[in-house]
Amino acid sequence: MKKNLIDLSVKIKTVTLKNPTILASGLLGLDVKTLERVVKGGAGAVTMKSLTKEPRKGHNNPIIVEFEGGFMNAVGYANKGIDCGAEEFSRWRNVVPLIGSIVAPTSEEFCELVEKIQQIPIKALEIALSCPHTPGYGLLAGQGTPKATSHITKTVKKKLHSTIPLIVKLSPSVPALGEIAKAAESEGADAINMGNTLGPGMKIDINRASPILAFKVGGMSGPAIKPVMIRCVYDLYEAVKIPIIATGGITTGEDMIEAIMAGATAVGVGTAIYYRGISVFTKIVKEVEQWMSEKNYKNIMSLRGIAHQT
Amino acid sequence: MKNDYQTATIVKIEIETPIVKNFILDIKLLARPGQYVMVWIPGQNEKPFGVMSTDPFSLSIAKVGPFSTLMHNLAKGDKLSFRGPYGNGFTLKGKKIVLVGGGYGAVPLYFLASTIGNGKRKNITVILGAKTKSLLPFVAKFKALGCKTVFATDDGSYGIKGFTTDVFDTMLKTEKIDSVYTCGPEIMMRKIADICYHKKIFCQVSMEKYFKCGGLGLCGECNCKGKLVCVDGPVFNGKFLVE
Repeated sequence: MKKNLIDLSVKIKTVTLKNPTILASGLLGLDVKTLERVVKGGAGAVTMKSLTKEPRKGHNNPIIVEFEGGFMNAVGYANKGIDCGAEEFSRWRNVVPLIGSIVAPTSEEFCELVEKIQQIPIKALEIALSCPHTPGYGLLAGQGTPKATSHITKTVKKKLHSTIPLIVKLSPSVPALGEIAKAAESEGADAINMGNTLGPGMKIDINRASPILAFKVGGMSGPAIKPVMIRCVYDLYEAVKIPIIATGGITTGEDMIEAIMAGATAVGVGTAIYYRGISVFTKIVKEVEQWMSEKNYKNIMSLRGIAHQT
Repeated sequence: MKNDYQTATIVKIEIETPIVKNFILDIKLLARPGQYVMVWIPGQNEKPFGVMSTDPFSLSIAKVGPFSTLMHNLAKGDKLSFRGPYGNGFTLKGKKIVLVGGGYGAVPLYFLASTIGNGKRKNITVILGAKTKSLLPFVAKFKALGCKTVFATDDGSYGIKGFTTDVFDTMLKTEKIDSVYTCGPEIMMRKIADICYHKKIFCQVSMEKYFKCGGLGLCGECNCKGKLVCVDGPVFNGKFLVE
């Protein structure tokens, strides 16, 4: 079978992606030009780095450290703030969908950010309720519970244009994951991003007897966390009906196929950029096409959730 | 792992200028001229610094902010931790070479000059500039290498009174140059790059940007005209700065 007969396009509510790979939030997403490079690298969609109400310096360096199976990071939402960020991304003209990303300590502040970010040409909005390393945000603000997720999703959804799908990004490190996802879904979330970095974890430099990250702990990413992410996606596929974006350790085409078989509709790619360069998206897509053509699959979505049949 | 920190011991500290200290370490480093390392002070911060020499591994650090002040407080025998080297480094081309440095931008240029064979260094002209005489680093070091040297200070306290860019411009009127390497304030580098671009002279600039992930190419903090300075640079062909 010819590879060009393989359909890799996927839909997240009203948004069609030419392929299921999405640049995860937090990497390279500070400016339009760099995101355009990611588009050239083959991404089906790109997510900006999360914006906050005010500019934030974030944590001191080191904000990232390598470990055996990936990286740990504690950036602390360093960003120029919603006004500056919205101005930068108002210049987005690419056909590849730009996904907006915002974080806030409270649902009221989320609303203020929604107001501003929906003025710029985003095709979907992601809210992360799951950062493991920034005081006042995500898990450290108690947002990783069904109650908080329900409340924030409901409030944001009310403010958000109905044409912009809402993605809620969850943490793999909390109990009652299914309940949290259900809470988001029942308040109108259009997709779940599963998920944020794992942990937090810590790495100590034994020559200096000191934790390496300035914030001491950081969220884990990369190949080591993939099995946890796969399990989470598998569970969520049985808990909710809305699309799931599988993020965590996706590095190869085989990883993407595994995530889709677990129940994902799309995959988030981040740390793999370190291992395989900005063209990692194209590489993953080619590997998936190759595999599908060998196995005689025509449509990527025919693989979705098939691991649940056994 | 490649990005693990190495910890060395400071064996000697040279006072280069009132604001620049050279830290000589007890190890060798495998690095190319123009590359940088991320220096980490546990519990404080981590910053990029261009390599000054590899055998022994040395760093030349100007006191310009809180981190470099902490560095300047280090003493002989203290530990210094770093990861790297990172970045692409200079591409050496041609015979008649000019190095144009502004202030502590001299550091990677000194490393570059020192890797060029002894007999060929007489073909290198170093143009170094600073605000005033006391802030000119590496004067003796470049002379010791056997390079031709021209110095420029804004106040005329040493060498020519004026800018390195003017010295370079004048020099081009009488000499044929194969390649130019520059490091220093961006405005200076842009001027040099502009001149070279119009005269079709090979030119490379070494950019300085704020790094966060530093050398990993993941965070995007160092974006500049669609390039990531930490992995695509810090050295770029001069055209990069030409408007």
